[in-house]
Amino acid sequence: MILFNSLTFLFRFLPIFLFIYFLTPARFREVVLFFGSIIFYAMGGLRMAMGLTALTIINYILGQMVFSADKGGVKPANKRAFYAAIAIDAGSLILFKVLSGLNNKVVLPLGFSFYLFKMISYQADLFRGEITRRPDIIDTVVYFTMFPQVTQGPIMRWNNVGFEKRERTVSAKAFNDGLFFFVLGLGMKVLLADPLSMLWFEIEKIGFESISTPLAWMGAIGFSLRLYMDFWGYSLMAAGIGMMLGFHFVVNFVHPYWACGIAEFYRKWHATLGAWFRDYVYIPLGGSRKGNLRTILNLLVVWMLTALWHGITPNYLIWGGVLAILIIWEKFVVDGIISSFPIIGHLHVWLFIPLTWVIFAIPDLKELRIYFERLFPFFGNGVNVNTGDFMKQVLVYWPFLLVSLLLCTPHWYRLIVRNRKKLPVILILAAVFWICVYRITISESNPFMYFSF
Amino acid sequence: MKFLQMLWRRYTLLCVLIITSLPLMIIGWTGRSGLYSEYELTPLTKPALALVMEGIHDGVYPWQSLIGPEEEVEEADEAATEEIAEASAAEAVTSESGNPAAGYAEAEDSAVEVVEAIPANAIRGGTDTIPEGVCNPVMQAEDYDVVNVAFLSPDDTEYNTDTEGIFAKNGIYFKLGSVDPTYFSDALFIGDSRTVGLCEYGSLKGNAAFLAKESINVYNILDKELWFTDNDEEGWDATVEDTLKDRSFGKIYVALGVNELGIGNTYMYYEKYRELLELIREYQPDALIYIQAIMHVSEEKSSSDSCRNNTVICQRNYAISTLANGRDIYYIDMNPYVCDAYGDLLPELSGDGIHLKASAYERWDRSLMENAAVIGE
Repeated sequence: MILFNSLTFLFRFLPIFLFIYFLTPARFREVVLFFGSIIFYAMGGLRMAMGLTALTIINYILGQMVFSADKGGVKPANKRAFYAAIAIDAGSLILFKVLSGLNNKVVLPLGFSFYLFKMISYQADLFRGEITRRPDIIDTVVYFTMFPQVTQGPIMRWNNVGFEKRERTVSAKAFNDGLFFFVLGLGMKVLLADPLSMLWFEIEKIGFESISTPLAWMGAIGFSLRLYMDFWGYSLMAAGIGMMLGFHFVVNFVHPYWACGIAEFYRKWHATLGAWFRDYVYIPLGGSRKGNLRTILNLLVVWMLTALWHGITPNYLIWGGVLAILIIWEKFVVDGIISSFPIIGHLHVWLFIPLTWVIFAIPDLKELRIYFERLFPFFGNGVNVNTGDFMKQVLVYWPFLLVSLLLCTPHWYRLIVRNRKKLPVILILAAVFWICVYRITISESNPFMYFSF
Repeated sequence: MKFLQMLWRRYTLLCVLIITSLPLMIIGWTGRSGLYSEYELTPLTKPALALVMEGIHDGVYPWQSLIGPEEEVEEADEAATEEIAEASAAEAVTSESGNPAAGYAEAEDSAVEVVEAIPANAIRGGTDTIPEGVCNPVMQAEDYDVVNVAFLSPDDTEYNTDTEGIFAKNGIYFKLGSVDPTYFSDALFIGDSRTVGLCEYGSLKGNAAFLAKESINVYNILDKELWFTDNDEEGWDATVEDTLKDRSFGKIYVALGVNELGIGNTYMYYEKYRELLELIREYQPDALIYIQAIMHVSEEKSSSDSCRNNTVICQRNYAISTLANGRDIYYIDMNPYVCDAYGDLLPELSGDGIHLKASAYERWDRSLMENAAVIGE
């Protein structure tokens, strides 16, 4: 697999693929997409391509056995096939997660878990009868393998990208919009997320015990923004390519930092993952319909699973646990207050989310404690702290922080999107594209550029 | 025409991207064996326009291909004239404070006097082999067999130590010993981000002068402005040459080598390092020069990184250590203060495996204080 933000993808794979895709008559485009996707993975290593092909075939065969919509109800055979598929998919996911957690050398193929999520949702949708037309092999393999949604999602669903009705709207408008979102996402990733990741690197370099409290907060905010720009940028690139090919735009981030409360934040942050957990874990467990105690338990289960999905080190469990507690707190204690005073909900997001990202970022619990002692210095003193560190980093990182912060508000993003057909915006976007290409070229030809000491 | 208009109207962004990429592609492709011949073109994975980007990064601009050969020759001549002019200017500066050779003779004289004062620290020399205790030995490290040999020089490479006129050939050797912080009051530390860290988190700030900047290496150090700070004064940007010209230092500490690990081989590094020392000696004929070892990296880095590993670092440390003469140029190695038995940087001292954490700089400070040449005190 190759990254979207690489020269090979931007100037070799994507243009050639698009050229062939659009030259091919519409009814054969699925085949082109399938082969394109396989080549896309194979370019990054055959192992992943082979693993993916094997899982795809197994899921297709089992899916055919699970599908029951045309027989008027679920039969025991459908059930058995469904459980077998879930066991294989969830088992593979757990196996890879545990192996990569225990041994750094077993690397989970990038994006692998997103495929398995998609496969599980496919089987569940078939089982529940939400997919009403029997999927044929081409549709199925294309749905599983299509390269635009890879390393970071979004997690596409059979029905909401247009597979159910075989909807494809290939048009100049969709293509243009797709390209616009792709370049916008590329800019977020290369020009904002990548430089911001160096701020966290600087903080690690100094050592958490020696950072000043203002720098500790700047680090937490910088990490929060970097994660957002990285993730949202990649999602926009994926959704943009999808649009160019004629699929529906998949919304994955809806200005989460503008949300009113933690629960709302997670409906807007990586929305396809949240929706997946809601539809395939939380609601099947009973959701919030079985009393308060059961709701709390269900929320805890969902968040523990979310945490384990991110990694098996204890910091992820703390991260998931804290988020579950915050969501329960909002739902059962301060719900009324937040409705009356939305600012409280915003403050929740702006204060707690960066703190939870710090937990997310630091796997070593001792180091995590030290970082929190620097965030809240009344718990302990720093070692050899240089009080000038904050200003030094502000002078370097303020442009990236500022632009990222502006993009956190819906207003700026909407302004750009609304004016996307105006020439000045197009020219700015073209400039963004070329600056990205410059940065990518330099970092590829000298991989140590980001790490010049 | 109508078709083109329709294309532009419907696919404006795509058209802008294609139109802007065409000249870049043409310039890159036509210049691949000319202006951009130094860059590698791999058509399967890398477009020709990447060459233009790489060129811009290195200050090679597309319009330079438009300059005809004659003009290029003229430019080269001009550059050469400028260089000569600069060299004479430099000579003029040094003659004001006595010519370099005379300056050096004075230094040697004063050294001889000092030996009479503290004979216990001095060993009479006169051979090319520096006695034990004068300079630090080069610390060795475990080889994890990940090294890319392109960054190394053959083991039997000879490093030219015949530097008479700039470096002392004969005279008296001084053993390294302990000093107190006041020793550094006339010292200048030159280096990269590691030295920036020493300045910000070590105990010498306010006592010594620093001239350092992130990402500096021996190949670019003379072309860039570094950050200069002296005795806690507000700092400013300054080049190495200007600083050495304008000020006088008793000791000059150099620590460069981590950014060079992915550039060139050991011998190239050694040659540039030597040129830097020659320049320092030219402007500061009386200063003691300390070549500081490149600090090793952590085991995690050293066992996985083909260039930033201790095998390359040890070879390069050996190469620069040959530039020391034990009289006015010393090689000091702080690695024993921060490494484990395998020569790997202790993981608890570093957040990234390359730099010391702020809390660990006191070890570097200590190594400096325990490994100083005491002359005339």
